[in-house]
Amino acid sequence: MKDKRKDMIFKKSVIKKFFLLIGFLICFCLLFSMVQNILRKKIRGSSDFIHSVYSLDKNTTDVIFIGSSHAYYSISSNELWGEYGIPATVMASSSQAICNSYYLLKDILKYQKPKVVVVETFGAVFSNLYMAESRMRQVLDAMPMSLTKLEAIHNLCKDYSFPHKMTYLFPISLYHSRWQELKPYDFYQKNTYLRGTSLTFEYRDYTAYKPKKNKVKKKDIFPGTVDYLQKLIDITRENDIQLVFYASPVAAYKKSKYKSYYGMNLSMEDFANEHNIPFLFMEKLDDLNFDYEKNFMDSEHVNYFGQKMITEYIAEYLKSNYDLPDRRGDSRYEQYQKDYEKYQITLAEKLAENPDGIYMGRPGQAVVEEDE
Amino acid sequence: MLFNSIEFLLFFPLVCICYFLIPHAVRYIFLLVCSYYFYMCWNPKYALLMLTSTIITYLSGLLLEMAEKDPDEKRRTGKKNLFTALSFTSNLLILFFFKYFNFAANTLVRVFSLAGIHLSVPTFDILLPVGISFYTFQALSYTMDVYRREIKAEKNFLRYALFVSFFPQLVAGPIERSKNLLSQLSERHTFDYVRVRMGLTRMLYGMFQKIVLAEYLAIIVNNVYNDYSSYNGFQLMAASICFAFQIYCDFGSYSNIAIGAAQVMGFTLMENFDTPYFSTSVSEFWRRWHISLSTWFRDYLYFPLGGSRKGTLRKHINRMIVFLVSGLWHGASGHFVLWGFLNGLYQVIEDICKPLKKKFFHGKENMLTKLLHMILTFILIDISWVFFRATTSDGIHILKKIFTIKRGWFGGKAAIAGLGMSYPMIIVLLAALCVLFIVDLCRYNKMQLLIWLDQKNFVIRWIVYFALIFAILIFGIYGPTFDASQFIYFQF
Repeated sequence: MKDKRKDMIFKKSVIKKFFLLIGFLICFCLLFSMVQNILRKKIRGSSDFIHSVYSLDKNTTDVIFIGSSHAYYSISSNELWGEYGIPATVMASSSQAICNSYYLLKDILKYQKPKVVVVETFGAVFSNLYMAESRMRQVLDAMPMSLTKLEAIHNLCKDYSFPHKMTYLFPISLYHSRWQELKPYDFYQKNTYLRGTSLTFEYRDYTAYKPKKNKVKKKDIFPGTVDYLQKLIDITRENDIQLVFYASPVAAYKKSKYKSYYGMNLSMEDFANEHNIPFLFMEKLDDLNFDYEKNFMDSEHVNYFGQKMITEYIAEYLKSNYDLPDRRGDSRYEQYQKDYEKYQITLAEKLAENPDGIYMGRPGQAVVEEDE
Repeated sequence: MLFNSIEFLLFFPLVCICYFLIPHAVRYIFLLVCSYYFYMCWNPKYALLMLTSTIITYLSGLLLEMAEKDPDEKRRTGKKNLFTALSFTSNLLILFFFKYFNFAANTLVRVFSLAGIHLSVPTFDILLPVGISFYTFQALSYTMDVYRREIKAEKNFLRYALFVSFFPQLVAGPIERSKNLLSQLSERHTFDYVRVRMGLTRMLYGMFQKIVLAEYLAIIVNNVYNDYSSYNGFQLMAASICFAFQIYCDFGSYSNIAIGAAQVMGFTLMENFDTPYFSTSVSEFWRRWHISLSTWFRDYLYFPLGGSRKGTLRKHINRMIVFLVSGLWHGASGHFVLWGFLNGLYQVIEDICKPLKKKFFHGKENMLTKLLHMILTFILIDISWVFFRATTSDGIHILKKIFTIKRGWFGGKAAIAGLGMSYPMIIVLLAALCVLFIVDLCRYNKMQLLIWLDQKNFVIRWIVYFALIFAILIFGIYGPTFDASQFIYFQF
């Protein structure tokens, strides 16, 4: 009898210790991920939307845009919502390579079931898999721990040492010294009403650099990138998602850079045709008449006026080609409406101040770009 | 593999899990493999050196025990002396070659050049094997203990090899004694939740000492000492005080992690530090600082030299010898010898002044006099630390600047800013030093903090654990932008 009681007490104590250990580990993981997220360097400062996307309500986005800065400058998800009732999310980051876009999309598909994914093609221009590690970090660092993240680290960081790889798994090791420079937006999300896009009214006059495309030759896409483009096609087909490629316009200010981008897009056009994927090559479209005097913030990115043109064009294209219902009025998409209202106020204020934009001087003068 | 590395963070839990899962009979072999792997992470070739030391001392133990059976006393003593001498000579020769050859050669060249003779002695570009002084001394203590018949020779070679290479204390101590550790290697250690928890807490505190305290202090020390001529007296004094705490936290942290890691697996290692900066005399300081080395020198050098049994003068000479050797043990350089010399000299003077002190204080000490003694001891020790950190000539310059109080000695706020740390970092450092002070004060007053904490409910325990973990994660100096600094004592 005594032995039985002793045995019971022992068992109870083991169970208690086990649950305490589990509780400790759970608390640690929660605190750790919270602290890590606070210390993480936020992409584009306060408008760190690319990863705020994880906090969106499940299955509340019909269109996902992915790509580089070209995407966040050329698309306005608020306009898509306000004018067309399309709930869209822009998950773009500076010089986001196609391989990064793929893993980002793969991960986000666990939370969202979009009908269309629109990929901006600048990420295919690099002569390597990605442009720079810092740009890759913008995508991977804040990605929540998952098998997709492990797969991305495994495949993209092959040449890195083990401790180096671990910094992708635990970015706190890289960013912890930021405790001295934390800003309010590190603790709570700010400016997310722009939903991952940029709103800029600055312009430079690129009339003299209006591209003449006839002499540009095709430029091969890096084979590794082609593989990831194929993966993008596969994953969207597997998930019954329509895939669209698009290339936003640039000015031919730096000729070699322009040729490289345009030449790559010529190859991209072939690739898209080959795989039966629509490719919206903005510079080639006669419907779009970009004003090279007032539509460009810098040689590679459009401003609000250029963004409006591109957004309207893509919205019309999406509406006429895919089944995208008008979600306005649906309570599940309330946040889109709130953000749009906020956006409208900001927009009205800015337009009242500068109805034609803010002239920033001739090309070549110092450009103060947004934090990338 | 550094304790403060991601590799160790994976290595240690894996070793522990396997250790408790595999049968008891093969655990020591498993630990031996792990220990050699741990050591070979630095340089696989140097494991051969450790193996050589292990073989020599293992054989010396067996031979000594065999010699013990010789009925002829004279022959027995002769054999024993021979085997001990062979073990010591061969081990010390290895140590000499790798650690002191270049120093000895350069010294020889310099001495001869003073006499106008120019010698050309070849020097070798060899890397000092990590922890060579530690494991050599540990292995030699075994030979000596068998010689003195304090322990029986270990027959199982693998078990003995584990004694020499036991990874928690392999590269920076505590220098264990065969009497303590060797017997534990045959014991059965079961998984004890409380013991494991306490061991891990100790390791965590050790990590805090290293990654936050020692590394923060290192910023100031390195900044100032690496370009000492650009800094004023106050800054040099601040850096020198910081160095006293840096070396304590750096070395103390290693011992805490080592003792904690061993405790997790069920082994009890000897304490290496006992609140040294609360000492009221230099001799007390040496009873509280690097205890495993101090007692090693006491047992295997000071006592054989005659200790204090051969008169006062001999006692002073013996003490000076011990500290000169201790200086040399710490590094093959003149400034380490000077550091040892100063510490020996302090104690000789202390000994001579003892009657005076007794007369002055009548054997009674109040809080104030105790505090004054502590401060005076700290100042003396810190002066010697200057020669530990800097070369002899640099050390003299630094001390001159510190003690020459003239206009511009302090330098105001700009001098504090010039130490190389931002104000938020200085605040974190001061807070961390407060933690160190509280922990040491409790220990000084014989309060067992680990046991106290373990008796508290889980909420309090978790608050302490999380505070330490996140202090390390947020404020610690680590990661890819940080040049993984080694523990200072690894070079010895």
